[in-house]
Amino acid sequence: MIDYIVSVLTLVAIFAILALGLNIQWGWSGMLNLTYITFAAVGAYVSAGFDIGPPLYAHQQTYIIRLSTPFPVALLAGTLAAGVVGAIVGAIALRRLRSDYFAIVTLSMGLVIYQVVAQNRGIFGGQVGLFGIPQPFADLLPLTPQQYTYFYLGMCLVALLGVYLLVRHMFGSPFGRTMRAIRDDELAAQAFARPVFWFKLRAFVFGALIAGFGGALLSHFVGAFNPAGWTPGETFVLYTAIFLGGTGNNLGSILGTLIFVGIVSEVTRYIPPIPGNPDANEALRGVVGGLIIILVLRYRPHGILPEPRDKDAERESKAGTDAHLPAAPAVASTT
Amino acid sequence: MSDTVLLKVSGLTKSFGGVEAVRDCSFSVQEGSITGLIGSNGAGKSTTVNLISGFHKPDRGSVRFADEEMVGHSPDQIAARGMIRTFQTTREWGSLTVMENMLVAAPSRGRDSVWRSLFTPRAIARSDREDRRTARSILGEIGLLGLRDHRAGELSGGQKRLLEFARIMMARPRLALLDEPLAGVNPVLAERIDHAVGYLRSSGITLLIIEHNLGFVEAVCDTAVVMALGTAIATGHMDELRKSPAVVDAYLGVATVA
Amino acid sequence: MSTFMHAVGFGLVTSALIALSAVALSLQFSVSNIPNFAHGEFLTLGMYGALVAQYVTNNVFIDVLVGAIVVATAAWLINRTIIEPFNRRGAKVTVLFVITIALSFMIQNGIIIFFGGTTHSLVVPSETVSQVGPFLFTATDMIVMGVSVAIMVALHVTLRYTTFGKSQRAVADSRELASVTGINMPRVVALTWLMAGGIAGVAGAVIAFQGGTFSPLTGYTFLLVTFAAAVAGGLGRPYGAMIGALILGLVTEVGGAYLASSYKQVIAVGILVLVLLIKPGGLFDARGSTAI
Repeated sequence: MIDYIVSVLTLVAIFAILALGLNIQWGWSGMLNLTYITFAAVGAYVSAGFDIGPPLYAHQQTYIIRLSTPFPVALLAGTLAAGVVGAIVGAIALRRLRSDYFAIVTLSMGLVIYQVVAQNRGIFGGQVGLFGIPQPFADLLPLTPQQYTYFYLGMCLVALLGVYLLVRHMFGSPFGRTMRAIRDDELAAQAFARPVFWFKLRAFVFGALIAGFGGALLSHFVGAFNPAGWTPGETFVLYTAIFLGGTGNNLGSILGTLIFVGIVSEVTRYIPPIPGNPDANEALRGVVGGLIIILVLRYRPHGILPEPRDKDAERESKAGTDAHLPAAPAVASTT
Repeated sequence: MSDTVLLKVSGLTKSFGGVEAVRDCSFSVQEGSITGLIGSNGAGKSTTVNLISGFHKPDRGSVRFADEEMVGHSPDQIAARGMIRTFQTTREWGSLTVMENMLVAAPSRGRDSVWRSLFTPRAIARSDREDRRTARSILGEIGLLGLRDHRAGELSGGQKRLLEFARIMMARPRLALLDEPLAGVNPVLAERIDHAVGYLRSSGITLLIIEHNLGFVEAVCDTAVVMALGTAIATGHMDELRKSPAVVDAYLGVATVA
Repeated sequence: MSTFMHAVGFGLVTSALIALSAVALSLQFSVSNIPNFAHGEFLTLGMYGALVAQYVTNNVFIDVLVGAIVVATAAWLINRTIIEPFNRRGAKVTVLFVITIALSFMIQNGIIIFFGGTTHSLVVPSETVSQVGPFLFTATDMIVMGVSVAIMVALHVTLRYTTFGKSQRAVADSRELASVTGINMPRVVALTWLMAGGIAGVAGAVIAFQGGTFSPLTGYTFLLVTFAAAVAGGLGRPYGAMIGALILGLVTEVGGAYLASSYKQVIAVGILVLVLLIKPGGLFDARGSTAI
């Protein structure tokens, strides 16, 4: 039982990291990226490709890279690779598109990447995928297999905390504020001198980097990765978590993941299966997810936790006396 | 008001699907002035604003702003050079608070780059505090300070207009193009809009105001440019314009009746 | 017969299938202004509708008709119970688009729960192959193309000559204008969902008959191809969708004959991305895009 809980919590922590990245793209920036999981897959594959060694037998497994690097290098490589792919996809998809067309272009490009990876054994093992992905730091730590699962959970929770703190800092920063302004009204943001395309591209890449980071943790948790692990259904799971937890709210993304990935999906797995229909339980997750999105949008559009609001009055009273000094004359914005 | 020309529009032409919305339109705006751009519906005023601010590309013609050609620049580049526009409908950032709207409107000077937000948090926090102080004093002057922590989407139509003025004040452009600042404002608030216009002017911002309400134009503008059928037909003080037969024919005669 | 002519023959049949699907998507978009992501699942519902009908009768036409009725009803109900309430509250297009994505997953997985995730097949009438000009067509191919042409003609007559069709075109042109002229908008929109659903149902059933086997995912794999055809023809223009379908059918089948057939879908989405980026108004759009 405890092993089961540890494994579910690890998955929740990893998916929460992924959800935080998607929340940057969709929640703050209004970019409906329908192939978000592709960037997680890039991180998963590339990181694994970096730290798996050459195959023992030539016919066993085929993939590129094979460097036997330590895990931190692999993690960094996976993260950066996802950022690069994100920059390419974003630069193409963000060209003058209304939001629904943008969504369709991301889905299309994701499909092309998916087909190319799935159909070519020589890249990342095709349909078979990668397996035998080494357990990070396992050779450095004298741990039993069970103790190792605790260690990995701990590592993922620390990673989640780190990503959360980073994302929360960015949310309230001028960058995060500008992104939310662009989401609310693009034309007005342009009128106030913000180059919308570049900002969106940055937010897109930022989200993709986090996806790659989470994807690397995912493939090293499972120990194998193949095309079944990054279907559009996985992106959909993350959207469900975000809508449920509260679009735009970073804590909400984590909460939504905990509820949907940690509880709802697990419960549907243990409902007695329909005889002769092994796919029904997994399918139930999709039905419930769709229902959650529709009900949330209908009855509680901001989700469980609405987007946090700036509280200037509190700041001012904290800052004390200097608040009522006359405003310093700003310089006209000429460049 | 100095004699320097801040904005010079010449020969501006734009057609949509074969219909010329603006044709050979020329006029100029003096630095420090409040200039009205008036004309009946369909005279091409809004298209002209879109052309000047870079939201539409003109077919022909030039827009010189502070001795630099603007045609060919994107809207954000033009805005970064010190020309901020508003839209006929208010375009606040609805889920941001009033204060956050002000902070985004402040000249960015690259402050909202990812790198600076990540690696120079102190400098960012310091300039943020400065901006907040500036914003509070502007909001106080405009009369929105009490609403600063409300989401801008929850404001009334008139309050949204006032926020628009406050944002411009925050951005400190050299020239502000106000596209129908009275649209959707109830008469009670019109007085506060008057006050806001005076506030912008007193801080040295040149204004080009597109407006139907002639009383308002007469009250606040130094000069007015009259547009008809896509081109500027006359420029001058309102009382001179009222005497011009061509202007009365094209516009004023109708408008004063209405 | 050369590989090329062979592929062109396949291409014509594929075009007929895509045309049915794309016309339904485009018609529904033109009137409701929502890109329907659940369109693929509408096709799938048509397949399973025909499957259920086949337990009762082997008459292909009745099976297809049942598929059409099932999807028409489903589409009408979805508009009535889910889309309409959002519309009344003035929801943004993006929100409605997200709703159709959620619906897509619900229907797809709902079908898996009821029918299982494995493939099913429809009994096809005896397959005689006949030579038509330079092409070889099976009897099913001929029926598919016949049904497709018949539906296109019927749609043309409806749009052009009936009062309902005229109000559909009026709503598609300008919603504001249409409501001012006294057109009952909600009714036109509802009936359009019904009609587009019916055509999508026919498309799904016909795709299933022509392909022989299908699974809960078959419709979804047609979604992007359908979007590609509809977008190439100018999304929201049913006539453009017909031409878009012809282009897509021919290019994917001829391209697939020379490349690996698994790349047919890749070719289709390649066209989709290119058109959206270069001419988002469709290949036959004369107007430029405007900023405001």
